[in-house]
Amino acid sequence: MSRDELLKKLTAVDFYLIDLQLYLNTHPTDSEALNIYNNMVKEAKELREEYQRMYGMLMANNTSKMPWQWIENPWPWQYSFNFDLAGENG
Amino acid sequence: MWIYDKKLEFPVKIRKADPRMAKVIITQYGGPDGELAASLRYLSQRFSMVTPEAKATLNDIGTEELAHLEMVGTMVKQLTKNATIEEIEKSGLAPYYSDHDKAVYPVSASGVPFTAAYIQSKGDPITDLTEDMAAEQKARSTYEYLINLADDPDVIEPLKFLREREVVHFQRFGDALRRVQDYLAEKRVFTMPDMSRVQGIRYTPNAQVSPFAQNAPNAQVSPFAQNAPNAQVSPFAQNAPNARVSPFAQNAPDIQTMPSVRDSNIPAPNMPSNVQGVPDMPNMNNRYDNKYDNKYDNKYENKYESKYENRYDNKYRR
Repeated sequence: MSRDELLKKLTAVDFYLIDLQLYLNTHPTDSEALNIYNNMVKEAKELREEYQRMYGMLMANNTSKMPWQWIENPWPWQYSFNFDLAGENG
Repeated sequence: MWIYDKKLEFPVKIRKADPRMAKVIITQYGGPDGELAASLRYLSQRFSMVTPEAKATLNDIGTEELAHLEMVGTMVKQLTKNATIEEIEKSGLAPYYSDHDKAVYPVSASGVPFTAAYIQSKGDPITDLTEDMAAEQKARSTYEYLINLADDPDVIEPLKFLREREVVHFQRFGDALRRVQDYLAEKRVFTMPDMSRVQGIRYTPNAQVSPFAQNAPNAQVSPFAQNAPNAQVSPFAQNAPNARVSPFAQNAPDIQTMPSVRDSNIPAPNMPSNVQGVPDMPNMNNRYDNKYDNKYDNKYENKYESKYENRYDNKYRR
């Protein structure tokens, strides 16, 4: 998978988790949602590991190649960091 | 603590410079209904919040707002990056440029610097959660006005995402508020401030019960009690030195049927459940005269406070 494809997939899965987390906070006994959450966590973990193996660190609590990869450009606020959504929403 | 995730919650990739939009979008960075105010509001209010659901909701939405702050800052940065001085002058961004160049600084669209006066942290969970729901609606409105002003899909898409999140947050705060209302209603505790500390007021056994209790016993079992913030017990009840359990606790609706008790694995306390609905007043007063003493009081304190404490502290602990 290309960097942008992988980042897009990870962003989507991570967002799914954020939204479910908020839902579970006020619905802690919804077993269906909890089940989906637990499965998504595994998927997100695999995608994150794949991304970090191929394209550098997403979080500083990960191992780094030499030299220290955390400081690598681009940062998320830079144009070139982000993947393109143009055309997908009309 | 927080750990940074080196990506945006939703991508921001704006091809075309547009300082006119930067000038208005900055208001969601440092304006009255912006993401900085939202984050600071929720992350401050969580310290005095009750119920595990509401604490988690404030903590996590406060955190998500930081991700939104980053997205808004990213939009402002990308909208101004390739703008020429002429474009900046024409768009009205010149005053901002004079103070900040193309840096991102927390101000409103009209140039007012960020202030903590935009937020409250009131210590009353009903008050705080109600403010939070209003805040989410104000932010949603702002995003709609910004979408009205925008014409570039690269700008509109992230604005639509942010707008949608305000709607979801409003729902989650509503869920949390309902749960807090149940929690505050179920205890049926009346409290008084520590009157022994107030000069000129002698602390007598009778003063332990709210002076309003005798005059308005129906307020406790009013069908509106659960929804009226004023009828709620202070979240500090357990910590207040003179907190006493109301002698009317016996007349509270059958505790077995309360949602929180039903949903928990902890058996409900053994309470007389024969008295339901609105008790009649003379009987209430008699009951009070006969039964209310310190011994009775301690019994309730031990029975309820420790039980509820344990449940709320431990139930969801992993």
